[in-house]
Amino acid sequence: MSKFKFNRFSLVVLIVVLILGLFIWSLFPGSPVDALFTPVSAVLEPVQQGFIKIRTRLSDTWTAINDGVGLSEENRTLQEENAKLEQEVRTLTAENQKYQELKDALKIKSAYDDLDVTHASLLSEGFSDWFDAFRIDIGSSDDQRLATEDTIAVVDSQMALIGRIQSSDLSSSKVLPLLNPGFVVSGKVNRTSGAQVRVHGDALLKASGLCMVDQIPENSTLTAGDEIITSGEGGIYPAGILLGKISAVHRSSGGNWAELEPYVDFDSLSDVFLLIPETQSQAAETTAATTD
Amino acid sequence: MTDSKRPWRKIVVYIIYFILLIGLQAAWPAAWSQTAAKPNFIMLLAVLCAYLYSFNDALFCALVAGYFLDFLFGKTVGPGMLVMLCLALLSHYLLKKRLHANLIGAVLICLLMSALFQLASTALSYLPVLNNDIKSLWPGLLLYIRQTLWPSVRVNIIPSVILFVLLHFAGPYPRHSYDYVKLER
Repeated sequence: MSKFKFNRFSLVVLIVVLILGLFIWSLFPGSPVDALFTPVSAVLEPVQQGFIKIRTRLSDTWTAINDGVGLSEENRTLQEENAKLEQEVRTLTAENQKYQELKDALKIKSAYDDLDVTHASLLSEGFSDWFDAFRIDIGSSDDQRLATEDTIAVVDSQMALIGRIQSSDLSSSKVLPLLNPGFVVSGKVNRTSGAQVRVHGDALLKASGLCMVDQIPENSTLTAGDEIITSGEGGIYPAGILLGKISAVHRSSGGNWAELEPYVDFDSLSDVFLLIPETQSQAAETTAATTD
Repeated sequence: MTDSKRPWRKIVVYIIYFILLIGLQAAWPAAWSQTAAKPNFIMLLAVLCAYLYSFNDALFCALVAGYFLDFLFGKTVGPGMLVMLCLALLSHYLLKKRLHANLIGAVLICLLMSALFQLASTALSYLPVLNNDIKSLWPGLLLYIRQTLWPSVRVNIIPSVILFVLLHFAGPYPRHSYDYVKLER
């Protein structure tokens, strides 16, 4: 009997050692451990998609039942609005053409010229402190640039920062959200000569859906309501991506810090956009083609 | 069901349960929960199987559940597997002389493990920031635990009851062999 128990104990110890080994191995840059997830990802994706479709259908039905009465009125208003927007789109298309011509003539380079905006859908939402990362349905087989070690920003349809790609397998990628304590981004107050600050996730503030803002310059006049955007410092995230609004500022002798309410509504995310930097080779090809 | 057919039944049932619950876990929207907490279906399956069935079932379910937790929601491979392994072993051995393999015992063990899971998850989140500043962090941490612990436990009550009933009537083992499995504990 004691021998039997010892065997069980040895088995558990062996498994723990193996898991720890796998964990340490996964921390090394470029570790192939993520590739372990590739077959699982391929099998699970259709199941997850199926569940998401069912969920969307249920939500849509629920919404339809709730909003049925107001829908016809809203539809009429939307049709009118749509007609106006159509007109605006035509005007803007013409203006955009003029702007492009002017930009080419003056060699203006905008902040997002070297970024490709790629759409992806959510496969899973995080649910707990440590287990808060979520997966999206785009992987290195969809876009080879995801296989690189470069940081890729993930934004919502309003260009508000959601997080960054942490790892990718062939058919899906994991996103580390802005609220995660491991997430850090350099930000600035969105006004002329706005102060530079550091924005990062905080384990305590996360429960309230807030981020921490620190490294605030002493002479800064940061107040509640100020908008924070990415500064572009360090070249990791492009400048000008919306982060959120300051909800409270705490001043103390140990250093000022503030609470940031992100613009992203993590509870209703379904579609995200990846800002993928163009690879050097592609940039070189583009330059060559332009020169020709 | 003869003994020779049991392994296949077990494998097929486990695959179905894991696929369904993983899909449900992944697609469960935060907006559906009254609190910020979401039910932890994957953990409940591992805990219940570890509590009701054999040591081998406990190990298998813990590792598969932990692997999927890491795959779907974790930052790296490993922590989820270790947490689930601890919870499954605790469920299998803890209070086994006091609790019976019935609904009340199963729900109690599920709630206890939900609380431990939340504590482990919070500890994992805090470990990187616990340097010399533990004293100043402690009050905030305690408040945070008080705010998050009960919601994350109570959100698992109904799912644990449903899952127990499902496993009891359509589990990996036929009902008439249930005592045989229990004896192996």
